[in-house]
Amino acid sequence: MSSPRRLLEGDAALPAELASALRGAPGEPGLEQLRELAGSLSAALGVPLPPVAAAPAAATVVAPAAFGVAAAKPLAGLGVWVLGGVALGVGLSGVAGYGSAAFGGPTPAISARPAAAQAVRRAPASAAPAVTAPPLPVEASTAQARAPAVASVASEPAAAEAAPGALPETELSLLRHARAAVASNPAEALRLSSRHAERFPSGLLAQEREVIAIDALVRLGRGDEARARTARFIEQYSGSVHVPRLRELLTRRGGQ
Amino acid sequence: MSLPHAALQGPAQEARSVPNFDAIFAGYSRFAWRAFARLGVQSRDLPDVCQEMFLVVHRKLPEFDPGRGSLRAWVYGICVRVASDYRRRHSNRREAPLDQQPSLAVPAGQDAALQDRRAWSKLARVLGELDAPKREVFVLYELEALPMAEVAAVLQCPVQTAYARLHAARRAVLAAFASGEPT
Repeated sequence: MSSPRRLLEGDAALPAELASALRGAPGEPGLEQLRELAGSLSAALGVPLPPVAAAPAAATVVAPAAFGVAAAKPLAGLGVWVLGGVALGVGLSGVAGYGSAAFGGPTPAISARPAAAQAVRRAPASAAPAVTAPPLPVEASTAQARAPAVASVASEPAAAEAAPGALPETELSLLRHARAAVASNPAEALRLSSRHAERFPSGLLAQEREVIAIDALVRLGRGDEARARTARFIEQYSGSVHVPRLRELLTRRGGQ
Repeated sequence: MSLPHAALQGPAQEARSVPNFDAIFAGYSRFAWRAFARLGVQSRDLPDVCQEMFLVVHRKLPEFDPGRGSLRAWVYGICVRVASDYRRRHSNRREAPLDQQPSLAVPAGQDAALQDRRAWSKLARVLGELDAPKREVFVLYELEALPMAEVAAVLQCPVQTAYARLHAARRAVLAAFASGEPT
């Protein structure tokens, strides 16, 4: 079975407004947006991410000639290390070794596509049907891939909704507040982590919640509870990337 | 093609190492952001949703098995599920589920890009009214330009099911744009 041609790849009967809509689909983030994302994620993970650069990384991006992307030149001098920011921050500052374990190997630059590359997508509607398929991340042997073991992502109950008009309390916002409080007010961090567990029992970030709660317990001097909770965590998530960090935390603070 | 996954059951792939998280973020952050926007995540929520997604990727990375599928399909699969979770969370909010572009009249020929964005606003509403599987296939195939076999891998459905969803989505989209409804 051959794949049908995509709508923009030559259907002469395509309504002009629909062609326009397909061209007007949201594009990639700007450099600043990407840097902010890297900064918040870096803080959340407790480790630096590689520099955000403005140029596409040739090794990670397919650049179809039809887009002219291959001709785009990197903008020099825009690489920057991103650190800090306000975020969830389950990382345990000062835990040696974690970075090299989870973030080992070369650190390619994070790239944002130059504006010129995106501008190509804004071809006039009157032009011949243009192939506007965006570049994809490189993936060798992709077409032969079998169904992947996609992560199972649970959702919180539908009842967990904010009042109409108010910004809903999200998993991330709740844990971000918990993380922000863990050093100065671990009791509050523990309360917020409990609230997360109640509101998002099958949430995406249950493991991160547990890390924060255990961190708070340790800081509150409730070492026995912290160790017991860590044991449950390891039993439930034996292969988790957080396990070494939890062990280090208990060791470093002596579960005091 | 008689078996749904026949095309996906090729010879054993050559061993490939699992990239580290840095490489995944470098290679996929722009695409994840874009895909989320196209799947209906509002602009203001994109940073948080992307961050959630990469936290999941970071945690799940040790479980990724290159022998079972491509990294790209795995990452897009997580994107789709995080976006689905997002839409479920926001389904009861008293606001438009998708970004609404300004509805100001645009003088003909003045700004093609703005016209495109207005047209996208209409398409986004149409996609938002589709059920999730059809919307996801449309976005992944028509906008993200993934091969159909990979779309099926991302969505963990038979390829022919993905084709059926694509055709249904196209019918709905074409009907909406053929009706001459105002944007």
